Amino acid sequence: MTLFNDDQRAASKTSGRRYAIFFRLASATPIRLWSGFGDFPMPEDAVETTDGAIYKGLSELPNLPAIDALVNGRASRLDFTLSAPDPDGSLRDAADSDAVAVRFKAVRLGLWPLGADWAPVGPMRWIWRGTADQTRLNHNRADPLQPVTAMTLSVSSLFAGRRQQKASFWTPEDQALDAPNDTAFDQVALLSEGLEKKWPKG
Amino acid sequence: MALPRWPFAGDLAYRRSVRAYIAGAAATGGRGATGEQSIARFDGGGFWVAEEICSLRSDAAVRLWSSWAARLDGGASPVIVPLKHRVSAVPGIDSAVLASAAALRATLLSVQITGSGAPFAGGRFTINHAAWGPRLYEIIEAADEGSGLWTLTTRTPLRQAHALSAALDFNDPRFVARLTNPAEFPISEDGAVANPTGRATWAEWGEAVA
Repeated sequence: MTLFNDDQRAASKTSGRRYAIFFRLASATPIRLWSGFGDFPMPEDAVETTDGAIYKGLSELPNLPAIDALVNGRASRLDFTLSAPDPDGSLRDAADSDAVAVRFKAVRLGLWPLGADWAPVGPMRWIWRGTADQTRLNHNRADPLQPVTAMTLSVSSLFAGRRQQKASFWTPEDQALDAPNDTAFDQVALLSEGLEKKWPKG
Repeated sequence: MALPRWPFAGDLAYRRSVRAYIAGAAATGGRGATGEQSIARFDGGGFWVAEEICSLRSDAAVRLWSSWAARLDGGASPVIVPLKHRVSAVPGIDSAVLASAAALRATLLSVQITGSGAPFAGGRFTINHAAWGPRLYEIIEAADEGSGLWTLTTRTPLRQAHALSAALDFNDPRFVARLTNPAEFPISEDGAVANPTGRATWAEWGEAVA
């Protein structure tokens, strides 16, 4: 299965690669953002349960190339940062009070190709699934005229948890617990290719 | 709440030049092994940016400018920025209304126009949206369908869905913006310069205003 259908591939050939990137955080009131400017209506699908839900534009130029590392499997955790002028500290308060509400909620990233007239082509594709972890706040008062609050949401993939087991050898001792006379695992210690594990000594 | 209206742009006595354009974001993934370069745009149509240079020829003008430096809150409050224009003005249009409903993010508008003028590519107009306020649009293609009906291809994508017969304002192109150069916006007052020059840059306001 390919990610995009023929119409979408044809559109990207004739009008250049234009994508809208969507971010959905499934908190009690879902947070819906997209990479462009203004509102973007989204039809109902397996992820987005509200038909015609409005995704809010990030309006400025977001720094999105980091998603590439995420989707292509090179990173298992990504920090989303939004910063805005915040003269009265209201954004900081809001982010503080919402920190608990977003924890462990599902985060989805989606990709929707746009055609020559900036209208979406074909179906929306959800390309990544993760879990919201923690929020951080950075209140920068370096310029007193324009204090800026940056809010960071750390999102991890399903492979970044602490409970995730490390890869380990299946040792002859392990096997001996189940089948004392089985010698099939006796040579496992010699299989060192691509692994740096040191055999326990003594 | 009525938004304040930026007074300098509307007055040709102050205006020296203005440059309004649609800004976008493109990211390149570099050149691949096959020699193909991949550039992706992810801004979904972009937003308006204006750069403006004003000549402040009187003490009153300098005081007015300085009061706006305080009023704009370092770019945190929205303001309506008019673009008093000459080249991109479309003359002779008495009224222009949508001839069919337009969806959110539409770029193809069917418009009923009365008057002697005709829209052309490069012309700019404003639609005053109920929630998003006045927003600027530029015609990139105008097709005459006969008897005053025109099909306009526009940028940026429509900010808000509109029912039939919403008005297009060709006479006063303007958009809701925020100041993006608060640091260099204030002008110095040394008394020696006869015509201090004020510079303001604007970016379209990214939220609904009502």
